Amino acid sequence: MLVLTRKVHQSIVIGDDVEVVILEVRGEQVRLGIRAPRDVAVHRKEIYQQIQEENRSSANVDPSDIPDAHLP
Amino acid sequence: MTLSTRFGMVEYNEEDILTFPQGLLGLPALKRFLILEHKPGSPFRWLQSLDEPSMSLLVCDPWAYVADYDPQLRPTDETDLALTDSEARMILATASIPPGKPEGMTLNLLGPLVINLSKRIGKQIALDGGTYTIRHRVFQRSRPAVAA
Repeated sequence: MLVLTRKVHQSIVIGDDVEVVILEVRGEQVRLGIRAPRDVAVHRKEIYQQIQEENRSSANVDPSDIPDAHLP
Repeated sequence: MTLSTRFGMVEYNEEDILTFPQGLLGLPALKRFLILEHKPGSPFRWLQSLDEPSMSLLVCDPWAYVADYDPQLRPTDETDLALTDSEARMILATASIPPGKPEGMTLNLLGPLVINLSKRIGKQIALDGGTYTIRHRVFQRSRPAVAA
Protein backbone atom coordinates (compact mmCIF):
# COMPACT_ATOMS: atom_id res chain seq x y z
CA MET A 1 0.00 0.00 0.00
CA LEU A 2 1.27 3.44 -0.89
CA VAL A 3 1.34 5.68 2.19
CA LEU A 4 1.40 9.46 1.86
CA THR A 5 1.29 12.22 4.46
CA ARG A 6 -0.96 15.18 3.65
CA LYS A 7 -2.12 18.32 5.44
CA VAL A 8 -5.55 19.90 5.44
CA HIS A 9 -6.46 21.36 2.02
CA GLN A 10 -3.78 19.29 0.33
CA SER A 11 -4.87 16.55 -2.01
CA ILE A 12 -3.79 13.52 -3.95
CA VAL A 13 -4.53 12.79 -7.58
CA ILE A 14 -5.29 9.25 -8.76
CA GLY A 15 -4.87 8.74 -12.48
CA ASP A 16 -5.87 11.69 -14.65
CA ASP A 17 -9.26 12.50 -13.26
CA VAL A 18 -9.72 11.52 -9.62
CA GLU A 19 -8.74 13.91 -6.84
CA VAL A 20 -9.09 13.34 -3.10
CA VAL A 21 -8.85 16.47 -0.93
CA ILE A 22 -8.32 16.47 2.85
CA LEU A 23 -10.97 18.95 3.99
CA GLU A 24 -10.83 18.71 7.76
CA VAL A 25 -9.20 16.67 10.51
CA ARG A 26 -10.95 16.65 13.85
CA GLY A 27 -9.82 14.08 16.41
CA GLU A 28 -10.41 10.64 14.90
CA GLN A 29 -12.48 11.93 12.00
CA VAL A 30 -11.19 13.00 8.63
CA ARG A 31 -13.42 14.71 6.07
CA LEU A 32 -12.50 14.01 2.49
CA GLY A 33 -13.66 15.64 -0.70
CA ILE A 34 -13.61 13.51 -3.81
CA ARG A 35 -13.66 14.79 -7.37
CA ALA A 36 -14.21 12.02 -9.88
CA PRO A 37 -15.96 11.47 -13.21
CA ARG A 38 -19.60 10.40 -12.91
CA ASP A 39 -18.91 6.85 -14.05
CA VAL A 40 -16.52 6.31 -11.14
CA ALA A 41 -18.64 5.06 -8.25
CA VAL A 42 -17.48 6.21 -4.81
CA HIS A 43 -18.81 4.47 -1.71
CA ARG A 44 -17.99 4.10 1.95
CA LYS A 45 -16.39 0.67 2.04
CA GLU A 46 -18.51 -0.82 4.81
CA ILE A 47 -21.73 0.31 3.10
CA TYR A 48 -20.57 -1.12 -0.22
CA GLN A 49 -19.71 -4.47 1.40
CA GLN A 50 -22.97 -4.70 3.32
CA ILE A 51 -25.06 -3.94 0.24
CA GLN A 52 -23.08 -6.58 -1.66
CA GLU A 53 -23.84 -9.08 1.15
CA GLU A 54 -27.55 -8.18 1.11
CA ASN A 55 -27.67 -8.61 -2.66
CA ARG A 56 -26.23 -12.11 -2.33
CA SER A 57 -28.47 -12.92 0.62
CA SER A 58 -31.60 -11.88 -1.31
CA ALA A 59 -30.58 -14.37 -4.00
CA ASN A 60 -30.66 -17.22 -1.49
CA VAL A 61 -34.22 -16.85 -0.25
CA ASP A 62 -36.38 -19.95 -0.38
CA PRO A 63 -39.62 -18.99 -2.18
CA SER A 64 -41.64 -20.90 0.42
CA ASP A 65 -40.43 -18.44 3.09
CA ILE A 66 -41.91 -15.39 1.33
CA PRO A 67 -44.76 -13.92 3.38
CA ASP A 68 -48.09 -13.00 1.87
CA ALA A 69 -48.61 -9.29 1.42
CA HIS A 70 -48.86 -7.76 4.85
CA LEU A 71 -49.69 -4.11 5.16
CA PRO A 72 -48.83 -2.72 8.58
CA MET B 1 -35.89 -16.76 -25.94
CA THR B 2 -35.68 -19.07 -22.95
CA LEU B 3 -33.56 -19.00 -19.82
CA SER B 4 -32.96 -21.83 -17.39
CA THR B 5 -33.38 -20.43 -13.85
CA ARG B 6 -33.68 -21.88 -10.36
CA PHE B 7 -37.43 -21.75 -10.94
CA GLY B 8 -37.27 -23.66 -14.22
CA MET B 9 -37.38 -22.44 -17.79
CA VAL B 10 -38.48 -18.85 -18.34
CA GLU B 11 -39.63 -17.42 -21.67
CA TYR B 12 -38.77 -13.81 -22.39
CA ASN B 13 -38.49 -11.27 -25.17
CA GLU B 14 -35.73 -8.80 -25.94
CA GLU B 15 -37.93 -5.92 -24.75
CA ASP B 16 -38.37 -7.52 -21.32
CA ILE B 17 -34.68 -7.04 -20.52
CA LEU B 18 -33.70 -4.43 -17.93
CA THR B 19 -30.13 -3.16 -18.18
CA PHE B 20 -28.15 -1.93 -15.18
CA PRO B 21 -25.15 -0.39 -16.99
CA GLN B 22 -23.04 -0.35 -13.80
CA GLY B 23 -24.26 -3.71 -12.53
CA LEU B 24 -25.41 -4.16 -8.95
CA LEU B 25 -23.36 -2.81 -6.06
CA GLY B 26 -20.63 -5.34 -5.35
CA LEU B 27 -21.82 -7.49 -8.27
CA PRO B 28 -20.75 -5.40 -11.27
CA ALA B 29 -20.94 -8.31 -13.72
CA LEU B 30 -24.72 -8.60 -13.23
CA LYS B 31 -26.03 -6.09 -15.74
CA ARG B 32 -29.05 -7.62 -17.48
CA PHE B 33 -32.19 -8.78 -15.71
CA LEU B 34 -35.77 -9.87 -16.05
CA ILE B 35 -38.44 -9.11 -13.49
CA LEU B 36 -40.43 -12.23 -12.65
CA GLU B 37 -43.63 -12.33 -10.65
CA HIS B 38 -43.70 -14.18 -7.37
CA LYS B 39 -47.49 -14.50 -7.14
CA PRO B 40 -50.16 -12.32 -8.74
CA GLY B 41 -50.80 -9.31 -6.51
CA SER B 42 -47.75 -9.93 -4.34
CA PRO B 43 -45.38 -7.02 -3.61
CA PHE B 44 -42.51 -9.48 -4.14
CA ARG B 45 -40.77 -10.12 -7.43
CA TRP B 46 -37.60 -11.82 -8.55
CA LEU B 47 -34.86 -9.84 -10.21
CA GLN B 48 -33.59 -12.62 -12.43
CA SER B 49 -30.05 -12.21 -13.76
CA LEU B 50 -29.51 -13.05 -17.42
CA ASP B 51 -25.74 -12.90 -16.98
CA GLU B 52 -25.73 -15.48 -14.20
CA PRO B 53 -28.97 -17.48 -14.41
CA SER B 54 -28.53 -19.02 -10.95
CA MET B 55 -28.88 -15.53 -9.43
CA SER B 56 -32.48 -14.52 -8.69
CA LEU B 57 -32.67 -11.73 -6.16
CA LEU B 58 -35.83 -11.41 -4.11
CA VAL B 59 -37.06 -7.82 -4.39
CA CYS B 60 -40.07 -6.09 -2.90
CA ASP B 61 -42.13 -2.96 -3.36
CA PRO B 62 -40.82 -1.14 -0.26
CA TRP B 63 -44.06 0.81 0.21
CA ALA B 64 -45.92 -2.43 0.88
CA TYR B 65 -44.16 -2.48 4.26
CA VAL B 66 -42.79 1.04 4.80
CA ALA B 67 -45.53 3.44 3.78
CA ASP B 68 -43.46 6.58 4.42
CA TYR B 69 -40.33 5.43 2.59
CA ASP B 70 -38.90 8.49 0.85
CA PRO B 71 -35.60 7.80 -0.93
CA GLN B 72 -33.93 10.99 -2.16
CA LEU B 73 -32.16 10.45 -5.46
CA ARG B 74 -29.14 12.58 -6.31
CA PRO B 75 -29.33 14.57 -9.55
CA THR B 76 -26.51 12.39 -10.92
CA ASP B 77 -28.61 9.27 -10.36
CA GLU B 78 -31.52 10.82 -12.24
CA THR B 79 -29.15 11.74 -15.07
CA ASP B 80 -27.71 8.21 -15.19
CA LEU B 81 -31.23 6.81 -15.43
CA ALA B 82 -32.42 9.48 -17.89
CA LEU B 83 -35.26 10.08 -15.43
CA THR B 84 -37.45 13.10 -15.94
CA ASP B 85 -40.65 13.87 -14.05
CA SER B 86 -42.68 12.26 -16.78
CA GLU B 87 -40.74 8.99 -16.95
CA ALA B 88 -42.30 6.02 -15.23
CA ARG B 89 -40.02 4.88 -12.44
CA MET B 90 -40.08 1.84 -10.23
CA ILE B 91 -38.21 1.50 -6.96
CA LEU B 92 -37.54 -1.90 -5.43
CA ALA B 93 -35.68 -3.05 -2.33
CA THR B 94 -33.88 -6.36 -2.04
CA ALA B 95 -35.42 -8.60 0.62
CA SER B 96 -33.60 -11.16 2.75
CA ILE B 97 -35.35 -13.87 4.73
CA PRO B 98 -33.52 -16.23 7.11
CA PRO B 99 -34.36 -19.84 6.17
CA GLY B 100 -37.68 -20.84 7.75
CA LYS B 101 -38.10 -17.46 9.50
CA PRO B 102 -40.27 -15.12 7.42
CA GLU B 103 -40.74 -12.95 10.53
CA GLY B 104 -37.04 -12.10 10.34
CA MET B 105 -37.35 -10.60 6.87
CA THR B 106 -35.32 -7.46 6.21
CA LEU B 107 -35.43 -4.95 3.37
CA ASN B 108 -32.41 -3.03 2.13
CA LEU B 109 -33.82 0.49 2.28
CA LEU B 110 -30.38 2.12 2.01
CA GLY B 111 -29.51 0.57 -1.34
CA PRO B 112 -32.68 0.55 -3.46
CA LEU B 113 -32.93 -0.41 -7.10
CA VAL B 114 -34.26 2.43 -9.22
CA ILE B 115 -35.61 1.60 -12.65
CA ASN B 116 -36.66 3.78 -15.57
CA LEU B 117 -39.47 1.61 -16.88
CA SER B 118 -39.84 3.24 -20.28
CA LYS B 119 -36.12 3.14 -21.11
CA ARG B 120 -35.64 -0.20 -19.34
CA ILE B 121 -32.53 0.92 -17.47
CA GLY B 122 -31.78 0.63 -13.78
CA LYS B 123 -29.26 1.48 -11.11
CA GLN B 124 -28.70 0.40 -7.54
CA ILE B 125 -27.94 3.45 -5.47
CA ALA B 126 -26.58 3.94 -1.96
CA LEU B 127 -28.62 6.72 -0.38
CA ASP B 128 -26.95 9.56 1.50
CA GLY B 129 -27.66 10.35 5.11
CA GLY B 130 -28.59 8.25 8.09
CA THR B 131 -32.32 7.79 7.53
CA TYR B 132 -32.42 4.22 6.26
CA THR B 133 -30.64 0.97 7.04
CA ILE B 134 -29.42 -1.93 4.95
CA ARG B 135 -31.25 -4.48 7.12
CA HIS B 136 -34.58 -2.90 7.98
CA ARG B 137 -36.74 -5.39 9.89
CA VAL B 138 -40.28 -5.07 8.65
CA PHE B 139 -42.15 -7.14 11.21
CA GLN B 140 -41.63 -4.96 14.23
CA ARG B 141 -43.30 -1.73 15.09
CA SER B 142 -40.24 0.48 15.48
CA ARG B 143 -38.98 3.27 13.27
CA PRO B 144 -35.94 2.52 11.11
CA ALA B 145 -32.81 2.64 13.24
CA VAL B 146 -30.40 5.45 12.49
CA ALA B 147 -27.48 4.22 10.41
CA ALA B 148 -23.92 4.91 11.48
